[in-house]
Amino acid sequence: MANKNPRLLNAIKILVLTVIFIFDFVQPAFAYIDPSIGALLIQGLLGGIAGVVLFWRRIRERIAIFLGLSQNKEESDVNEDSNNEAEDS
Amino acid sequence: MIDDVKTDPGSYRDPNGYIVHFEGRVLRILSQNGFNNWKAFSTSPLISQLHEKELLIPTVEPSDSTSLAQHFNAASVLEHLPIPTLNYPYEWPFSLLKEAALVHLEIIINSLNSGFTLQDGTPFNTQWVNGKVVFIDVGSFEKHIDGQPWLALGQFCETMLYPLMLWSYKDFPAPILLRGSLNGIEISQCANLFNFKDWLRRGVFWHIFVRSLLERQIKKSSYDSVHRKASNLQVKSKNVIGIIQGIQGVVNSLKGPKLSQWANYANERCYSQKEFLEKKVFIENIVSKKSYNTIWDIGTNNAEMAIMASNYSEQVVAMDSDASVMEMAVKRIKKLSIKNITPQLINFSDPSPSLGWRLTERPSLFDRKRPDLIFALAIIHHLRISDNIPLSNIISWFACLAPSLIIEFVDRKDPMVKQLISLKKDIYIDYTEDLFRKCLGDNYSIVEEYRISESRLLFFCESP
Repeated sequence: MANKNPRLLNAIKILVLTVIFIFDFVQPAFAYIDPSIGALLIQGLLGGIAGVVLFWRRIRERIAIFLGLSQNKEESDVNEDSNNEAEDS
Repeated sequence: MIDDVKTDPGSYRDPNGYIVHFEGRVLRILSQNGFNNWKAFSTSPLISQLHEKELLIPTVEPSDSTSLAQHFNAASVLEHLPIPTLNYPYEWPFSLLKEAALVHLEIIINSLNSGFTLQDGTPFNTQWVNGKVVFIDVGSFEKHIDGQPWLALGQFCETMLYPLMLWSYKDFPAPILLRGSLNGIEISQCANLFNFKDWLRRGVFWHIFVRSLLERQIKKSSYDSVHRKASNLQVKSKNVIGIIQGIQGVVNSLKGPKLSQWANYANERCYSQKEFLEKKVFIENIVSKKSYNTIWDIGTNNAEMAIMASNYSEQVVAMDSDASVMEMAVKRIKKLSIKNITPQLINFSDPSPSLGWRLTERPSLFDRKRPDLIFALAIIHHLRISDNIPLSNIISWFACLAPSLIIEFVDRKDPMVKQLISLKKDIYIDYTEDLFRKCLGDNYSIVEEYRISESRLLFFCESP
């Protein structure tokens, strides 16, 4: 189904490479089962999206607070938002 | 001295431990690495959290652990609560597979919050025990390395999430899929079964469409570094938990199979409530007189007789080939909190074969614990007419399986029998009451019989 849409494929390709390269690297992930690469990357992708959303919300809130448009929110609310973002996926 | 030890044929993958059976005990033999994992897990608050939620099979370090460890040349030995009736995911009704998935997700979330992870994510690490699905593989817990994704997410999706989605969204029963492949369904195969409209269904876009595109792109890529770097990917634990909570939401939203013609059988059956009660009394009189260890109720429908029998016998296996009636059965069993009935989605004429490595990894239905009493109530006409199995063959197979049998003969005057024959050539010359009695007499002694209606007869038989 997806082969019919080269733009979408290119977008996904860019996204994959971005996901792979923007994250820091830790110890290699080894298990006795085969961890599917797609399943690892989807966690990087969704985790990345949640991280970006969280980052953007923090900036937006700080600007809003600075401009006096909003009051300071509890950190826990922000965490909840990030989880909800991921849940919506 | 320890004799008669049997290594579990399905326990060979994990290098940190394996299961053995002896004298009715279930032991986990641990390597040094496995023991280190167990020590960390058993001394953490996580284990008591999971036991409180009844998600984990009860496990102890037995008093003879040291001598057992010496015998098996192991670092340590654990003992698990034995499972009375082994059951496999390809025999589970929808709600059991869904419960298994939710048990996994609940455990992995609790584990990540406590600095642990699960090494694998297969439904074979769970069993239906005492009226609920529990996790049985304590060897799967290990310390979580901060920043690592959940390595078993792919396996979880292929063996639980995708089969459940296909069952719910496409009405394709997971047992067919899981019996065909113990490793479930690969993402590329699964993605082919969904179309663009399905993107709107919960979980399909990210977990099927995007993941399949990722895998496709990676396969096309010639960079070894992509594979290496993907396995080095760092994701914050709270984000992994968020993703898993998202999957939890997807699984929770999945609905079971649509109702079939058999779902309302209890209300639309071909005989009256009075006749049904007479049938129940006849059966209850038999099961209440003797303590049966295991009863199989073949074609259980809403599990009415299985529920009654569970008051008197150790274990009851309630099986039916109809997914929607098994859902009703599970609902009733859960509502009544009955612990000794195992609901199984099994077509008795095509039951679970031996599967997996050496064909011993998952033993067939008949290679597991056999019953000492079978209920074959209003099933004989389906086996004879729908499945074309000769009457003598059916009865002799029952006799091989169990020493006692309660069987209902439904004769040709019955509307259901008429309906079954109506579109077929009537080749069923052996399907008469006289020949049925002869078949019973060839294999069993008829102890008791009772006519519940003009067209239905009950027999209680025992091996001579």
